[in-house]
Amino acid sequence: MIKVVLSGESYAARVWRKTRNGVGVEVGLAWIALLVFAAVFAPFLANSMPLLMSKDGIISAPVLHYLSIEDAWVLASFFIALLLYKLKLRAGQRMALFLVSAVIAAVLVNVYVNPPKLVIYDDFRSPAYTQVAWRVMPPIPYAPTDYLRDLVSKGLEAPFETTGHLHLMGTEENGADVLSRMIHACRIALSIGLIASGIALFIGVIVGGLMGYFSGLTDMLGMRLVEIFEDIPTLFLLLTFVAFFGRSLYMMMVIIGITGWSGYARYVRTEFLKLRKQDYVQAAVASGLPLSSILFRHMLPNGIAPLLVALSFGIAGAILSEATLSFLGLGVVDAPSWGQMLDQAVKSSSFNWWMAVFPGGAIFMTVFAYNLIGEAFRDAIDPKLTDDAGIE
Amino acid sequence: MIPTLLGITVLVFTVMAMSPGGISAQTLVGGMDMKPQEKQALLNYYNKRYGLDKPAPLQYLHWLNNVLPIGFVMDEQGHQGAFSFSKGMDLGTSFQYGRPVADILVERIPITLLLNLVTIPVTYLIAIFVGMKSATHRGGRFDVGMGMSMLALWSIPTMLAGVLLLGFFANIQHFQWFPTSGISSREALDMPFLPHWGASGFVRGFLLDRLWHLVLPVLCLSYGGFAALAKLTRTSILENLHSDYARTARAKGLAEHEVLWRHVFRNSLLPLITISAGLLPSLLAGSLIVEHIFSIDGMGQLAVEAVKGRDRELVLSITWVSGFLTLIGYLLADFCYTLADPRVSYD
Amino acid sequence: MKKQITTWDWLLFSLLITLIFSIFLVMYQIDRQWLKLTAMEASMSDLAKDVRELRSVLASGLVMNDASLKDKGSKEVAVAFKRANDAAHSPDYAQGDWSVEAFGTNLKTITPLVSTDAYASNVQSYVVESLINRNPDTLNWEGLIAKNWSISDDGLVIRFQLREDVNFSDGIALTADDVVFTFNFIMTEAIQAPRDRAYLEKIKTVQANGQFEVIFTFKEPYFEALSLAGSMPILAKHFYEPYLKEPQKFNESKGILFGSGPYKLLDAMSWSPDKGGVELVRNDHYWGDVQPSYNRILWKIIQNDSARLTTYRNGDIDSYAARPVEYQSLKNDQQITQKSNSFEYMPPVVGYSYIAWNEYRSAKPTRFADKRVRLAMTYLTDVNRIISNIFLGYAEPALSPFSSAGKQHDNNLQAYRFDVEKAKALLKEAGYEDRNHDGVLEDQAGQPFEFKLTYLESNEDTKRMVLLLKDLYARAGVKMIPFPQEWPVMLENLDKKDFDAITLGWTSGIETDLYQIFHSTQAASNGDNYVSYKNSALDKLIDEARRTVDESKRLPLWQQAERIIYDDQPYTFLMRRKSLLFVDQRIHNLQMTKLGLNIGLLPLENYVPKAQQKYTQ
Repeated sequence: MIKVVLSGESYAARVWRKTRNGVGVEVGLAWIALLVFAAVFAPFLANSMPLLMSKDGIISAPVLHYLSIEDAWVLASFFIALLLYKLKLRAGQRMALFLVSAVIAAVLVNVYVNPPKLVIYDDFRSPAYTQVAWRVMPPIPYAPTDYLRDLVSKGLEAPFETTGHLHLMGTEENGADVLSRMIHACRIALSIGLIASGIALFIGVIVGGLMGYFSGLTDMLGMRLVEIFEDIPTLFLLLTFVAFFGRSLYMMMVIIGITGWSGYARYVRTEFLKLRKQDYVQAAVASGLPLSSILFRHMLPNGIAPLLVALSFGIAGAILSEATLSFLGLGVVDAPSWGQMLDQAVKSSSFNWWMAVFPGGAIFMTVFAYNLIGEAFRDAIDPKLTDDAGIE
Repeated sequence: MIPTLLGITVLVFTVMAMSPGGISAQTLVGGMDMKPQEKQALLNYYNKRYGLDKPAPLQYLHWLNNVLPIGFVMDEQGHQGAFSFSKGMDLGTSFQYGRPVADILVERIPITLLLNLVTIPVTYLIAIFVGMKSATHRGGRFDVGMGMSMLALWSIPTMLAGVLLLGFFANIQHFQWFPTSGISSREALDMPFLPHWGASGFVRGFLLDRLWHLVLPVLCLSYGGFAALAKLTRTSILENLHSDYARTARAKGLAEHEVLWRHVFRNSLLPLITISAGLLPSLLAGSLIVEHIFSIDGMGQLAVEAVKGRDRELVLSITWVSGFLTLIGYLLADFCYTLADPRVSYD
Repeated sequence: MKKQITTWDWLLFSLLITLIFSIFLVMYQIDRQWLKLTAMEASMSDLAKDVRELRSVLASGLVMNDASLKDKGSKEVAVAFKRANDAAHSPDYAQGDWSVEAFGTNLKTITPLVSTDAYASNVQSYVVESLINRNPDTLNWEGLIAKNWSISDDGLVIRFQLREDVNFSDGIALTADDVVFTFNFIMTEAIQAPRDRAYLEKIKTVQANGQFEVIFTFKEPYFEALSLAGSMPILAKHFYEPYLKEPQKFNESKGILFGSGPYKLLDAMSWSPDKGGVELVRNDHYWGDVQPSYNRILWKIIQNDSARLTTYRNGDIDSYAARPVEYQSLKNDQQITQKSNSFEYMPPVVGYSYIAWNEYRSAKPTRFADKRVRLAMTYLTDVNRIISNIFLGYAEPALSPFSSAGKQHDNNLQAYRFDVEKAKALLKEAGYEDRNHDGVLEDQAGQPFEFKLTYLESNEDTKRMVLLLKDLYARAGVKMIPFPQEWPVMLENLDKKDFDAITLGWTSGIETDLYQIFHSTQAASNGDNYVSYKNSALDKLIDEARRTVDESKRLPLWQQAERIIYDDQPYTFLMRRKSLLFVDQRIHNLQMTKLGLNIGLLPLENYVPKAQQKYTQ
């Protein structure tokens, strides 16, 4: 007799399990977790000011004093997300709760957090901050925009080359520490990846959904629109946007999002064209449910799987686009970014290998991690390609 | 096809018109070296000459009229003439370079095309070979190893690969096996075409010199392509390897490699061809970075310079040309599809 | 059954394609050979023509004192050629070899008058000549095409006597008619030469008096009159006159370059930018007293900095101009030092860099309209630190638009030293204090002292300087936001006066005219006084100085003007940078002159000894 095993897993749980069993997915997830950790706790990991210090009997935390609005909000959102993960709620409810609390947190942070507008990093190496009873410094005692003016850094020094202070990954051209900038750049990379893809997903779902559901004329017009956005060399359009509109981080996120939605639209359209004929959809239409409800509550959850695969690759693509823009010199000026550091590797007459290997390696690992996860996810949802097809 | 082309140009034009600076007279190359009293007369001249004070939609229509082979004939001052069906295409003059755009494009397109046309066969050959081997030895060491490496290769950003290749293989500090920049060296122009062993030793010859310069850029452009294609080939061949007709062929007594090459391969080609349509635009985008790193004067480099210099005519023309090339790519792919699959026909 | 395409068909098909492709390649190769053959034929026919002329001269029994023949040794050498003559008599002097240089940007066109950039002017200086030339040592004017000249007492009329043996590269003589033609050609509206026209508009007429005398008449006395008249590049009437009928063709041309200079384009009408550079060959009919040494002069266009350095390393170009940081690391690079000589010097006509404070924006005065604020910013700009940190000492602080080595500069002026306390005191006086203790100064209305410093995005060292300035200004509580822009966007904003502060540079001449930059009339749109600086005392001084032809009366006026600028600080003057150059060792007779290094200076003084010559053609 063949033993029959009944598994009580839901579809989602099974897909997740199979994804995690994919090759290298664990490594990818671990790397992304590392990035998230670095992005959230960056001000505590790499900063020029002490975490805690005791001077003349008073214990103070300069880091908290200089925490910027952005830092505070990211920390708050992270803890809210952690809390929501622990609670047992449905996915939709979790999303909504998260969004609401994030907005509230943003408002609160704007009101209560007031860091000084100008920071002079050299002060933290002056006696006011060094002649103290004891102090706890962050693991990497350099801030990303601390150009070590008082130490007259020459810039572009290899790792371990500077005498007097340790730079684990060397310094970049203006004198700032590379490792510190890389940690802070995680935040930019991740946020661009998530937000840009989120925007693209949003637009793509709406357009694709409408196209797939209505077909006919809407479909034709929509397809033309999709073709236009597909045919334009994306990088070129990005360049045009950035060059003409000036540089700002939020602008880049929005632009990468706006130029990337065509792929998602195609997926959604295909799915919806298939699902349109299903019985439950016909029933929903017959019951007179509003359009948005039909599209997003009934059809979308069933067609979401390929979208998530595309999302994973999309995030990788968005991070790559941002790095390319910074590499071509169109990124934000002062803010740390992996692409901008990579650009410095080729600029000067000698090849600065540490500027290529470390930031480049970070970009590579991130993209690789997302790709691995996407691949495994795709293999998990497509029954034909599994090795144990037919056997559960 | 035409509406798509129009749509692309409208989009790019709108972006430029919406920008904070608007569109108006621009660049003076080397302006920082000029004495102050020399600059402003030139600015006035440019403003008057290009008629840049009309509203944006009119300017777009004006441009469209110039570009299309059918339209109103414009004389030098910009006044409208008679309607003609064989006007010829006037892509305008670039602000930055001061030359007709058509001339610049004619110089630059062949270089980019050369780069891409060499890349495509290389990509396909490697992808088919790797994919075939992975599929036939599925689950074995080659398959798993290649799968991981292909994914890793695909994840390496082009700029990182370019920088590393340049830094290690074209640098005096490490190995100088390849030249650092350009498509050919100055001496090559005086060399005969084919390599030969002459009185002064081995002379590279123009052809070999070109190829030597192309090795690194082509490598950079192709690795992303063949990684993706290898995976696709593998999937496609796997699907067909266990299909009914393959089983029939084996049952008939055909050797395995005949089954593979004569039957399975042709049927697996179809998704590859569909993908190839999308390959050309991504190569054009990739060449942007590769040309920047290797200092090759092609379309990609031109695009970056045009956008950075906010050169309206050039930007529009490049958009138009690349959109056009992409659509040609699609047409070609469709055509190859009909060749490969006799079931498909257009009537 | 329908015929199928098999694999064999594909193979045959690709074979066919390869065959067609190779036929194309062969055709291309034959084409190149054909071009080479035609080039050879052209130079052979040139030679044949020369031989014929020689024969006819010999046959007619004329003494060899013709315009087309030269006897180097016995004839007297004009003053302008003295230095070149001395070089030619050095023991290891040899003719031959090429000079190969590199440009960093693309050349649009090398047609004279139409071209606007310094690179094109450089190329043109080898092909087209002017009436007078500056002596690199004494800085006096010496006659080149002109034998001598005289200026009338009121400064309005200059007469030039031309040499009678000057001819263009096709052998035809250069006469006063060509000079008159050049002036009329430039002043023709249809010809696209607005810059030269603006330059020459002070001249009323140019007339020929016989074949070898030219008279320039000015509208009003101008201190640079001689320079204006004498530096005009002389164009050949017989070559350029046809373009008066088709000015459009001239304006859009890429390379219609023809003149009397020591070098010429192989084909005077057909240069185009796609060749990747410019190539000039020796003018075999050169009239000059001394023939230049190089057979050819080439310029390659290499935009990427590191590609240029590698090309220099490989020996494919003859010189390389380095940035300060690069220069230092290259001096320790054995491969470079073994094959080059390095030069660091301050070129006398070097420009200066500055920070300009916009005083008027959207019809309202800005915070920088207050003199105390500008002065405070100057105190906060630690120029010495910038020079030592970023330019590694290879620059000099600039105090004013006048070079410290020039005659216009008052040497008693002291540079402003870096002083945070003084700056803070001045700002407090102007009403700026940190009222809410957030680290940033606020004015009386509570607005924080924040501004955007615009700078050119592509320049490495400027970016580093701006970031350093940001940290320096923060010490006094001034928040500066770096604002990089592309060149055309920057130009546009300058025009609309839509900026807070900007850092740029101007070039100077031997004597700098302050009119365009600091005169209040130039503050209107399209003028170069884009900070809208207005000072009527300065205006009067500038006007008077421009009118004064007598140098001894003019210089004190300039010095007074300088003092006003020094007190008012419309710009914070930054520095003048040294040139840092590596030149290939095989080039001999490199000397420092008052005009800078004499590499490429005309008449050519550099040469390569026979043993070290690299290019044999």
